[in-house]
This record gives sequence, structure tokens and C-alpha cells, in this order.
Amino acid sequence: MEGESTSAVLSGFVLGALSFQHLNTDSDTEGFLLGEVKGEAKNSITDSQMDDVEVIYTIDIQKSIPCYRLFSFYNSSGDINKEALMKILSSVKKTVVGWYKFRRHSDQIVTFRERLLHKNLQKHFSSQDLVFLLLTPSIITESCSTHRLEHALYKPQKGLFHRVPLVVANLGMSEQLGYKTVSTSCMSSGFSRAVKTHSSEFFEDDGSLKEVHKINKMYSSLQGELKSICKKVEHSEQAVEKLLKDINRLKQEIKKRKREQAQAIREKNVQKDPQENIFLCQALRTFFPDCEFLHSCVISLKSRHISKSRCNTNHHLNMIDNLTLMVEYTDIPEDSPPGTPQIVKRKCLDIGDGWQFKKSRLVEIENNPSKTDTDSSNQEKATTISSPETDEEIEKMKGSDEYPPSPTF
Amino acid sequence: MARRAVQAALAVHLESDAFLVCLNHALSTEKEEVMGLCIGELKDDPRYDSEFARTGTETRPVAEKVDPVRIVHIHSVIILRRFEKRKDRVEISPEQLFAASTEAERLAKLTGRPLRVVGWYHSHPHITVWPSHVDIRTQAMYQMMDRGFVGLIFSCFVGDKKANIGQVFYTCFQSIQAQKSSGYERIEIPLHIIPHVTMGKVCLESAVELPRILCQEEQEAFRRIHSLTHLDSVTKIHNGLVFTKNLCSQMSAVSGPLLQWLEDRLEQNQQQLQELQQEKEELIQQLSSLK
Repeated sequence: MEGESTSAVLSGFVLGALSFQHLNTDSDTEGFLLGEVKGEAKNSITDSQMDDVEVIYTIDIQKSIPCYRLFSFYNSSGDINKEALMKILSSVKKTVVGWYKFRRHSDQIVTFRERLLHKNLQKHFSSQDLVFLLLTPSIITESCSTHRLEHALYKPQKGLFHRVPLVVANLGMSEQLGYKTVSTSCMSSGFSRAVKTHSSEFFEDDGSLKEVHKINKMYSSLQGELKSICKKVEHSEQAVEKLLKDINRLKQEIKKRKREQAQAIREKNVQKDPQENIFLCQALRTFFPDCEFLHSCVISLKSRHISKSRCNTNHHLNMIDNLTLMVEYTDIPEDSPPGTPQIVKRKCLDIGDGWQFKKSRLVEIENNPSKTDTDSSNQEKATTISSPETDEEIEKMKGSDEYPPSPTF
Repeated sequence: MARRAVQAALAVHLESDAFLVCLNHALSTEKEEVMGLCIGELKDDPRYDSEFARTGTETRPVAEKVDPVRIVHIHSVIILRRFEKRKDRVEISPEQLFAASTEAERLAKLTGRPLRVVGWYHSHPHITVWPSHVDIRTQAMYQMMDRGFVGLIFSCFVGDKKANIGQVFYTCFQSIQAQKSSGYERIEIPLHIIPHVTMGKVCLESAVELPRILCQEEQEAFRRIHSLTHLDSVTKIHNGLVFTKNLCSQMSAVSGPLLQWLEDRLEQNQQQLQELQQEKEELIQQLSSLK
């Protein structure tokens, strides 16, 4: 989708010149406007798929040619007198972009005759883009102290005269902080001459700018400094990194050695003096006097197998005081609701009863190695594990529904 | 009941070429207010004099001393630099006034007319043409040294943006003591532009002063910046190029178009010369045939 917008620009000096001509004339004044039309395509990306190309036309009004009389090139019907027109514009080198008219004390409305004339001018110049500058000066106070000059630029579009925005170019216009893409076209020969005289001080022979070269060189030097310091820093970083690695490595090594040493000491200590679990030994001998298997080895406090030979030392541990938790047997009332697992230990047991139970089970295990799978596995476990744990053993002796009482001896 | 305060200036007659210099100056920038001084003379309006003679004794109390009211005729203007560029603080320094007076004396000698500084003008870009309180006070101050001193204001870069209609206003005023409050208020002074078909020498010279003054202002601003000792070399280079950039803007926006206008004017005059020469010869022939 293509969009189009037109605007016009003229310098304050052109507007001043027009006003000057008018102020020096009693009647309305008119004349021609010369300049050029520039088009700039601007791509605007919108939400739609297609790129919106907007063409912006700028009518640059650079010069005015006054007509010294009204009706100098046309008649009351708006018909153009071509010869007169040619004479007025005989020395004109620039393009005619439009015409103007000063109308005192009137409104900013294009008259019928002006419309006709404009159409005829468009035909004559074979240009549909001709514009009409209407200036309407007036006095707005009774005392004649205050005057107003209104101006508007008209361009016909589909038969209707639309007003085109007209900007008076000046020094204070919004400053472009970036690069300028357009320059105010100046056709002044004096201007070109002055600029050309000093061109060589700014431009090289190939058209490049001296200032640009100078600053580029300085920037390069700065960049060179950056590169050199970068290299130095890089080396120092690498050195730091290497040393950090070495230090870490050494620290790790030290830790490891210390750990190994500590371990060795511990093991040595353990090997030197493994303490026999005398309680266990005595208990096994006291309560399982006939079970050779349980007396077959010596177990340390940490459940390590110290010796494969039996301990023959009498540890003199009093059965009552050191080995058992002796409590008088009483009937525990069944107050726990049905379904609760019998986690509650039976606090006391007749030694004999419990004892018999256990003994029978053990004997069973010993005498009937191949009785049941569970039994055999129990036996296997009992014989292969070199450091039997009494809790574990009791676990194995569990029947399918019975919770064995905890060992009280 | 006639007001006690009598306006000291009856009207202002501004020559069109002087007006052109003011207008060009006002349209040169929309960013800040510009100002200048008006050079001219006071003239008696013969119409007024007779009217005064007729009605003066009737309407004015005898005790009141009345200076003859005159017409301020402005021949040319002097473009001034603004040292203080604060908004709505358009003030002319005593040095500038003195320099302008000296220039007026020079012109007086040149033209043989009793020229002096008769008023001041300034612009109101994007602002209404009416003088602000500061303007009215400033004007009142000038009137204290010269009763006939007048003020002109040019309002530009205004208009109906939506309707794409541009406007330029210009007004003439003086200050009088406010009746109700203790301050001053403006009074309107009739302003007429006097046709001057050709541009006078003085006005042309004033017109080309504009770029020179702009350049001077820029140089002054740069000199102040460059003299700051705490700035490093890179900043100084930057500032130097900002100066270059600003001068380029001036060349493109002011010097160039001004040159262009003057070249066009020259071409126009040369063409007109041919036509006028032809017309003159025809008239001479006509005259000789009548003899």
C-alpha cells in the first residue's frame, strides 16, 4: 500500500521578499514561485505483511518572480496569455513550482477565478503538481496598531484545493542530532564560490574528509593501546590462573595425605587393639552354652571379626547385673485395640518359656538345615555371616504371624 | 472624560525596507527571541497639529504640560546580539544603546536628517504578539529616558497548524501607568508601513549583518567553552567540531538563503533596469513630441 504526503518549505527571506513587494504596491500583487520538488521514499514497517512505502514530496520554494501588474499574463476569464507568460519567465532557469497572490483584507479561500487560472497554468506547464500560495494581509485592531499576514499553500487534489503544510525554514528548526540525509539546496553562486575556495582545506583529492582521517588515526592509536594492554592482562591472567591451579592441587594433595595418614593410624589402632565385645561373648556362652557355632569366633565392639578361634577367657561378668534386664513376669492386659500391630514389647517373660522357645528354634535350625526354604536361607545366613548380629538372627526366626519378643535374658 | 495619561507617540511610520530587515531577522530562528533597535526621527504630523490647536485648549486642562505628539518615523534598524538568552528577557544593554546612538549619529551625518534611536523591536516565536509584563516594564523604562520611544513586536511561527494556515503578526505599543494597579499596561500605537520600492543602502547593510552577528555569538560561546581548563583534549576536539557543526548550520540556514535572495534581487533589478530604461526612453520621446 502506497501512501503519499506533500509538504512545502521556503526560507524567511523568500517570504520577506514577497511581503516587501506587496507592501510597496497599492493593489493586490501576484507572481510565480520557482524551486524544485524532491521525493523521498520512506519504508515504514507495519504489522501487515507488506512493506508500507510512503513517498514524501517536499516542494522547495527557492525564488519568487513578481509580476508588476495584475492581469499581466491572464485575462478576467482566467485565460492565459502565453506570450506574456513567456516574457515574464524568459530568464528563468529553475522550474516553476507554483504561483502566488496577495489579497488584502480577504479570507483564506481560493476564488473561482483563481481556480480557473490555476487549472490553465497546470495545463500550460504540463504539471499537475503546481501549487498556489495565497497571502492575505489584514489589520486586526481598530487603532491599526496590529497587523496580520496569513499564508497558506493550496494544491488541487481530485478537484478540491487542499492546503499543503508550509514550513518557514530557519536556524532554529529541530536540530538533527544524527547524520543529515538532505541538504537545503542552495543555488547561490556566491555561496558555491566561497565554499569552493576553501574546499581543499576540508577535503582530500578523493573527496574524503580530512577531519575524518585525523580522528580515525587517533582512534586507531587508542585501539592499539587497548590491544597491547589486553595482551599484557591476558598473560597476567594466565599466570594467576596457573598459580591458583597449582595451589589448589597442592591443597588437595595435602588433604589427601592427611586423610590417608589419619586412616592408617585409625586402622593401625584398630588392628593393634581391637576390643573384644566381652558382653556378647559372655552372653553367648552363658545363654547358649552348647551352641559351638556361637562360640566359634571373637567379635569386637564394632562387630568386627577379630579372631576365628574361640574365646576361652572367662570374663567374669555377673549374669544378673551385667548381662540381663531382669524383671518379674506379669500378665500384660490386652488393652490395645485389635489391629494395632504388637509393637509393644512384652516387658517381661518367664525366662524359661522364652528361653525354651528360642532354644528349640535354634536347635531346629541346627538339626534341620534343609527343612524349609526360609529355614535353609536362615541357616545359610547364620553360617556364612561371620559377624552375626543378634537382632538379625531373631528377625530370621520370625514366624509368619508372630512377632518374637525382644530378647530379654 | 479624557484619560490623564497622554500617549507620547501618535503613530509610527515604518519604512518598508526597514520592516523587511525586521521581518527577515524575526523569521531567522524559531528557537529564540531576536531583537534590535530602530533608527529614525520624530516628525510632526501637520493634520494632528491643526487638530490639536483646535481642540487642545478645550479638552486638556491648562495646568497640564503637553509635549507635541509626533510621528515616529523609522528609517532603518540595527540588529543586536542577545547576551542574555533567557526566555522572555529581551533586554538591551546600555552599551548597545550607546553604540546604536553613535551609529545613528553617523547616519544622521550621512543622510543629513536628524536621526536617532527611536525605538526597539523583538520577536515572539511561537508566542502571541502582545507584549508580556516584562516587555511592558522594559518599554516603560525606555520611555523614562525618551517619551517618544516605541516598541515593535513580531510574532512568527504561529498559526493554525491543523488548517495549515501560517501567520505573522506585528504590532506597535507603548507603556502607560496602569490606572487600577501599580504596574504598567500597554497602549496601542497605530503602525503604518511606508512604501519604499527600492531597498535603501542602510537597510541592505543591516540585512547582511545578520550572519555576521550570528557567527559572533557562536564564536563567543565557543571561546567561553574552550577556555574551560578542566576539559581534556578529546572533549576540546569534540567542542571544536560542535562549533564547526553550528557554523555549518548557520551557513546552510541563514547565509546561503540570504545570498540567494540577494542574487535573485540583483537579477530582478537588472531585468527591471532594462524595462525601465525602455520605458524612460519612450517617455522622453513622448515628452519631446509634446513640446
